Amino acid sequence: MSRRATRHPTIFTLQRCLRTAALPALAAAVVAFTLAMWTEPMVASAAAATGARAPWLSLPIFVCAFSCVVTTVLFWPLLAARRPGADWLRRLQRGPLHGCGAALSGALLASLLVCAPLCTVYAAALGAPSIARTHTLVPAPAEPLLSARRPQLHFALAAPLLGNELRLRPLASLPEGPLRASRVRVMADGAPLATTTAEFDQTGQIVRIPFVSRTISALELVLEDGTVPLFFPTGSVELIGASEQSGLANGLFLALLAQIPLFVALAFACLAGAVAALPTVLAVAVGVLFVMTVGGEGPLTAALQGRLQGHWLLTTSVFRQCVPSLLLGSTAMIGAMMLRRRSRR
Amino acid sequence: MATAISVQQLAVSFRTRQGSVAALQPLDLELGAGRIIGILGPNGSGKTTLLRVLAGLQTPTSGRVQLLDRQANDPALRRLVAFQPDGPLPLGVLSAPEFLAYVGAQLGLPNAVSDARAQAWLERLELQHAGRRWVRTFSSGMQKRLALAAALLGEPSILLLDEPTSGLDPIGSGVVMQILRERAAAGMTILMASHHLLEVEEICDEVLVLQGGVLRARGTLAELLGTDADSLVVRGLDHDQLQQLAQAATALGGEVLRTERQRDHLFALFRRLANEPVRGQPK
Repeated sequence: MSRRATRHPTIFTLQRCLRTAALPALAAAVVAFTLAMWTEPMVASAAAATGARAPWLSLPIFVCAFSCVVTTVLFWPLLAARRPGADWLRRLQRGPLHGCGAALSGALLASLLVCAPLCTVYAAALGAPSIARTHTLVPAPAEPLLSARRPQLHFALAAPLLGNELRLRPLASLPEGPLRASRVRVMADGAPLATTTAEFDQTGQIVRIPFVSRTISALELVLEDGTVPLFFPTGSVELIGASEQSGLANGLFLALLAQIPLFVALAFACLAGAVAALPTVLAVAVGVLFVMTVGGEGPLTAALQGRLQGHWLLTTSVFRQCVPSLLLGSTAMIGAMMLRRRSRR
Repeated sequence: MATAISVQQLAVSFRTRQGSVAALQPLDLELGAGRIIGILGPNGSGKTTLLRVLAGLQTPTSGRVQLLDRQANDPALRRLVAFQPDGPLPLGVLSAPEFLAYVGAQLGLPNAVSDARAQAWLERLELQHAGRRWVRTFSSGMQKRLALAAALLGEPSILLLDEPTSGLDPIGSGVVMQILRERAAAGMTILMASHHLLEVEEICDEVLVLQGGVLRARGTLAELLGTDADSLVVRGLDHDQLQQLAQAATALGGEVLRTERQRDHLFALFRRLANEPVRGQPK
């Protein structure tokens, strides 16, 4: 006979989900990796653009989450209405959700265990760097157009940051006269950031400006020469932090973030299951999961790309992206509790 | 005799698209401890609804329900009152010992106690050979026996059973009946809904008959069926001899209720065959 821990619904669900999710996720990873390697020569400069491989990383994660959702909804009878055996669990399990929360935790734990190697080892195989740095998007000024008429733009950082690289990726307008690449000098807190200037003659062109580590609280872009007006919206100026973080830790944090779609999907299953039967609950849960992974809603898509590009994910901006999804899932759980309490009457 | 179950003006109605449907009309009951009470009635008569209300799974529309002097939804009753619903068991991918271990843990039993009781019940109900097989691969009879083991694991004071022997073969049914008799003798109150009239007749001290959510009759078998009478079953007499025997019985003050040609019961045949070894196989 088993120990007490192994008699808990969380453990049962964990074991069940591991059995059903691990192999399909592994198979999906093998297929995705093969396809990634096969299609790479078709993509120009793919070796440098590791972020472009994010779909190949998202595939096994989606397969894992899908398996966990289906397994959990089928395994725990109270996640859908009118399932055989539900009365047993309603009497045995304490709490307003009668064990649905425990089953959900088990599914999340199982998915985390499967996603951890995917987000660390498999992501590294796809080209994710072994170190990660903080990437801070510098907020744009009110009128972010740099041109002959407005040759200076001032960017203020929310807080001083220690960095050693700046990335500029402006949008270019039609030249105001004969085409001559715009040369931009970057000043940080009143002093030049680098000895050279950055040159832009087309839209979306990325220029990296490495510099000796220093703390920066304000940036100034000065147009020195050229006829191409440059538009710098938020996201086009990125300051790279100087401190190096572990890529492994970054992968593990991504594995945590990858649980958010699963949490929201199962929370909605819990809500729907208070009144709806199994087919409806499955449709709702898989639908939510699809929207939040393949559909790109929620924080996962950006996080996958960030991991492959070496962006440190443990930042307030990533957390801010997670808040709406977490709030949505929590609201669904609270709704499920209220609905279940009501439907007993 | 102490009262185990007390029901006053209990009514349950369900809202449907067509309007409100009364599953139970106002019902009053006082059921004593240590008795086996059978609930009879056609489908939809309110048997399961009554059991679900007593198990705290259905909130009544009106009325008061008390079990062991507590409200039906009192959390303390989770262990004192066990309910075996009809239908398959949940968590079908667990083995029988795993399922019982889970039930024991949820009832707050210490692991050693839970495991010892589970082992004993599995052996008594002849499920020890099921091993690591998933519960969902069990036959319905095996599931019924496991369900009874789960219901008895916490040694409840009140046992609510919904069709406890449906799907069981006569031998298994006999084992279940024997266990229920023993538990009742030990002081457990057992309330069972069943369509097996012979079993109810055999085991129950008292019978409730529900129809359309209304309690149509209640009482002991003697009260409901008349007093017990000794009977004589004869074999080997021809028609004339039987007539003479009937006249003699009447002359002695007896009443001949009926004469009929009767075969042996199927149950007797089944039991006899079950005890005989199959040709070519050791029993």
